[in-house]
Amino acid sequence: MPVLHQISPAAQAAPAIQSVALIGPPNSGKSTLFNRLTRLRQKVGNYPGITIEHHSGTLVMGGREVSLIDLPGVYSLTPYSEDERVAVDVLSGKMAGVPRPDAVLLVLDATSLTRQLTLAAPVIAMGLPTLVLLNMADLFARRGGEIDTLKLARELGAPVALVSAVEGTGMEAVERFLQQKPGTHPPVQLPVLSGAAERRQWAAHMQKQAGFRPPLPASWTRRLDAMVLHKVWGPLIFLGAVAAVFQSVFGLGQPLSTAFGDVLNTLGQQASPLISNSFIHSLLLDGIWKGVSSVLVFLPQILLLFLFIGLLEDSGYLARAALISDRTMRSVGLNGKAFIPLLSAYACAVPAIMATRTIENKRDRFATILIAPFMTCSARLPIYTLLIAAFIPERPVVGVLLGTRACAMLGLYLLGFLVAIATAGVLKSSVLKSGAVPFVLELPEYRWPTWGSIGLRLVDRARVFLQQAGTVILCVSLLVWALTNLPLHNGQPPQLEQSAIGRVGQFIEPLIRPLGFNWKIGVGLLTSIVAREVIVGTLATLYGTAPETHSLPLQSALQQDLSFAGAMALLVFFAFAMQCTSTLAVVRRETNSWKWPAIQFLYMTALAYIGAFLVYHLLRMFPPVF
Amino acid sequence: MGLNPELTRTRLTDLGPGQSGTIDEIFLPPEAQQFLTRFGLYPGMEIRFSRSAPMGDPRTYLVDGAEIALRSETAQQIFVIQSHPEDAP
Repeated sequence: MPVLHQISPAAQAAPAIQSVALIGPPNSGKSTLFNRLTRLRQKVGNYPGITIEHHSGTLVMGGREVSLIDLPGVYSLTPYSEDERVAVDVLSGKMAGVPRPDAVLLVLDATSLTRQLTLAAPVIAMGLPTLVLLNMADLFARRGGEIDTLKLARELGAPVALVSAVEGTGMEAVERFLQQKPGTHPPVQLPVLSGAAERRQWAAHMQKQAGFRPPLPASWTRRLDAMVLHKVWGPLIFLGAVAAVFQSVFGLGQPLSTAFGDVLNTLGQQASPLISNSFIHSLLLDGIWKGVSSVLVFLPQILLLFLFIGLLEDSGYLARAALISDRTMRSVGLNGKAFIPLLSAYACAVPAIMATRTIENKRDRFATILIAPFMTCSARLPIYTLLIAAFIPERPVVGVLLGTRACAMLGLYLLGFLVAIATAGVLKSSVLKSGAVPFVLELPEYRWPTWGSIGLRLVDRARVFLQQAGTVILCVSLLVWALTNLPLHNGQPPQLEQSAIGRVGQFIEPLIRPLGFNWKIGVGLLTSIVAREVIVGTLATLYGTAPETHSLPLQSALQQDLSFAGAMALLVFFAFAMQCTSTLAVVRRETNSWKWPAIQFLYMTALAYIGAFLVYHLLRMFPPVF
Repeated sequence: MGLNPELTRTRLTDLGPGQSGTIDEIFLPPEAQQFLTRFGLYPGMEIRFSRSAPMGDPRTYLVDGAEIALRSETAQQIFVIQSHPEDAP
């Protein structure tokens, strides 16, 4: 039998509600509500010592400021998971650095109230004044759902309001609730529910009392799904969508990136005559500006990719794409949700890794993050095209359709893909083996994406890329610049050969000679740690040729200095190696530790070394005849 | 053949188009059961077959106002009391 107990009225004589916590299950629309209430005046940090982000903001209601704490999405308050522990600690005032809130806003999805209502009992029992917000009221009503909020409020002993965070309706209930004095909340009696089964029974009873009628499935979503998930049309639409995204990212993004690169370049040139001191000139323009712009040029492409991922996600198609690709992804131990992120990685691993946030299973998510950089991203293309043009003679393979060079390029794409699959297979059968948790995919209703929500995410992602990647890239660029320009020779920067980085290149030469590389390639490998395509510029400088990529003089210089086997080994090295500071910075951010990026860097570099070694020696033993 | 012909216990994978049932028992590790609870998959909940993915698996079901996809390896372990066996094709 449930035991009845009395809940003490909350925080005694405070003048009015100063701070309020927002709690609710994942996907209850909590974040949308948080954004609406705070109008984006928010701070994101981490709770001390744990990986959970701490969102807080300020909302202004009735001319008064109230601070709002967004708690992690939770299904219950049984502190099994870190998320639930954080929620319990904040609500009971035990979280260091976070004062106990005066009140609680509990957000529940009205369209799936049967299970979401189970969270109400433990939250109300925390003893703080609670307003229960039944979110997605618009969908709920449109799909024929019914509930008597007054009756439910009487049963729960807490006010209940139907709201729509997306449309902004029902917000006056929040305002009225926040105007009360904390102590005025009437004490209520609620059963203490220990087990999950009891909570469910209790929730079912509450619903019945409140005359709850569940909403019907959305009819036009079901009609659309009949097409989108059709045996024949489904896969065709899927391929069409994927092709359209790719065509846009490369067809539109590549020229945009090039144009943006030109703008950055021109800016640097404009600034050039303004700086008279040659040392500062070199530091600012060759060191900082060049290094940072070599990464910034990817921004248009990254944003474009995010735009498409955002459209897919917000429209509801992303879940359908995951459903269609699950069968295939399963064969390598991943699930359908990894498909779109991995596909994005063909343009750039940075948005791909951020897009893995939709994968709830942590192990599947980490496996996806770890294999994403093997996909052939656009930063690899400059060095690929340079080496292929210089070392592989164009010969037809399949008539006029496919030549040797195109084959080599396709081969490199395939190589990255195969290594990714193999790595996923190894990870998923060892350290990242999925536990007992099954794969469950929720198919949300189709919706028109709103510019507000997508624009917001674009701004957020761009900021992350610029901040997180920017700071690390700035440091690495500066380091590379310093190594290139020191030690000074008669007050002048040295020739690259005599510079610190040149010496490091010569120092590591014995290490990379077995791969068929000389010290100049070694310097290129070092500088391209900032970003892969930097090696082309470095090699151009080293060989004293014009810095434009694919330039013929650079090709012939390489032909004289590098053997065919060495060039192929270099291609393989770039297919495998983690030559990308932005990716490392983003992996650190997404996994919240240096451990994973470190493992990833070491693994990929080791693989690159072994791969290049094997290719070099095999090709020397069996040179191909063109 | 039982006393009540309307109570047929089957695996969730045996539900076809138009068929629904009430979840009776789930034979999965406790951790998995706990996880499924989030999606309204627990004994007592009504569940209805919705459709199959183009490749046949996963299949989707309607439960608690939402449509969710389950792989057959999971759905096989969920037993339901079928609601209207006479509707079976």
